[in-house]
Amino acid sequence: MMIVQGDFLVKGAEASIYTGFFLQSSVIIKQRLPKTYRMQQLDQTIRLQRLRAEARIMTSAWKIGIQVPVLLGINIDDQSLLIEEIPGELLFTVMSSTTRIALETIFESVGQQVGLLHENDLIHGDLTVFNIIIGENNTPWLIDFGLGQVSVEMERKADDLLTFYNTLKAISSDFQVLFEAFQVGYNKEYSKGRKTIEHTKKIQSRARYILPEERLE
Amino acid sequence: MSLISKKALLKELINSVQDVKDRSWPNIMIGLHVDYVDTLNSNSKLIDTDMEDKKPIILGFEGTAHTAGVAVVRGEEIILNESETYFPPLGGIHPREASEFLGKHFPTLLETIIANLPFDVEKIDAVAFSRGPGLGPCLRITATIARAISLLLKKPLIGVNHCVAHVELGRIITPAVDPMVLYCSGGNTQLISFLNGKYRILGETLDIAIGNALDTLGRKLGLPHPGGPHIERKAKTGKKLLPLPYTIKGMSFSFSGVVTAAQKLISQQDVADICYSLQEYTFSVLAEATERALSCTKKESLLLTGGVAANMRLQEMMQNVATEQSVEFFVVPKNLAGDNAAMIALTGVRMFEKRDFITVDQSHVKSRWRTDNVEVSWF
Repeated sequence: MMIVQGDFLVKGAEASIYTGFFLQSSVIIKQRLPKTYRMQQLDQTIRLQRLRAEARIMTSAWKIGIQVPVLLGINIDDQSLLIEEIPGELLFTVMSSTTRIALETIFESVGQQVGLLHENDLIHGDLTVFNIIIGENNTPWLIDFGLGQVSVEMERKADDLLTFYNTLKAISSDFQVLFEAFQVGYNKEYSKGRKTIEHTKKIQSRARYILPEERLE
Repeated sequence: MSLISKKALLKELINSVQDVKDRSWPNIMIGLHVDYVDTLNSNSKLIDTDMEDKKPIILGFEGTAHTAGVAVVRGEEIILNESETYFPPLGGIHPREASEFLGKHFPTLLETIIANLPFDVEKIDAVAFSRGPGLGPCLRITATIARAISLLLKKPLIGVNHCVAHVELGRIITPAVDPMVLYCSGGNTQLISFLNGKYRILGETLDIAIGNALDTLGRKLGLPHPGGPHIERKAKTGKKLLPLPYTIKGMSFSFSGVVTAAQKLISQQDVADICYSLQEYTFSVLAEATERALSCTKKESLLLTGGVAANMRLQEMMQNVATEQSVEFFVVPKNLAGDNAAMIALTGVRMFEKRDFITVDQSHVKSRWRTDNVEVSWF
């Protein structure tokens, strides 16, 4: 294998990302570094779990045809993944520079991708606007499957939706409109979409101090 | 009304507050209220116009759950801060008993404050109280006494959000300016940061608070309430990391599952190991969520506040998170980490400067007042 490791790109919460070249195409190397705040034993288990989950879910999703970057290689020893580089911007960044009308279309297509993921019993685990890249022609790409899992449980899928709804609510005043657009796409691709959204409301009602008017409509 | 009669009235009022049950107002207050409305109509202003360059003096009341607190601050300086904490003889906090405790202790606390006040009662510029979130019966007791004092002194009333007060306290007494806040106590666990005019909750517990989780295990182990400090002490001798669930959902977390799992280990494993494992697992979840929140928001400092902030292991972990994300780390001092009235009064100062008042008839308590529903005029 010929990997040319390039520059240090970004230090995320969980991993450090480096750019590189592999078979003449741009790649990124995502390495999960040990966390000093966690006990070593616990840290080791968690990191390995996440590496495996990420590789597994990404590959499965890619086989189905969901928009995810291609996984090119795994290195268990230094806990790193070799992943295709997706040119584009994070959905979070796009949100501040795009009109609401255009955003609604983007959110609908994000909903479609997530719907496809759930239709195939794949769970993202950390579905936020920071984990979606908007590429060329406003195509959404799902990234960062470290907390992902394979599950048929509706609870896990509803968790995904709730995480997404909550981050949306935290950063945008248009969250209701955007989440509605997301639901349209989601229901298109996922046969149990409506039921899952109903279940999301149920999970939400377990939370602390939720007022009726703040609940998901 | 002369000052002497006011003092007598205060005494009468203190006595009457002792009998306050739930929503009923003592008769004396109704008379005061008429007086207050008259002042409003005739004067249209309750505060002096030459206040501008003077540091406001605020009387603060805290009473959302188990702590009855009264404090006086001048600007950012805490002058007096008195509190009494309710320790249930058995089990956890019972809302009715906690509220009765507050009703019993507020008058004596207030008397101590008035007796030790280095200046005249008349100098107080406003009365701030914890309006929510919390246990309804406790909040109503606190609100009643705050309203009474506000009417008596003819000073404006300020309704403070308890969670926001914890954050503001940290921002005032530590050098943190615009931090990412991890607020963890017995009743709340939230990741809070300021964005677009409000404090936003980036992540929070989906079921029980971290302090509640520790207390629950403490109770099952037969430790006195609150269990948190006892668990911390026991955990120091623990060595073996037992397998427990590690639940993180984005930036939110849940602790009820891990507590149940830890409870199931009680008869099979060493108590110290259980305490140690519970702390390691739950604090690691908090640390990871905090790290995510820091990397998302790009805030330049991290502030740890709330009662559980007194836990040294949690402080150590958060220090490491801050180092990894290259941000500054601040933690509120131990004596102000838990619920106290100084934080209510200090937030009251900020709100006073923006004239963020409420009238007595609109001062109903909000037991489910979320941090992200507070209009922050003063940031």
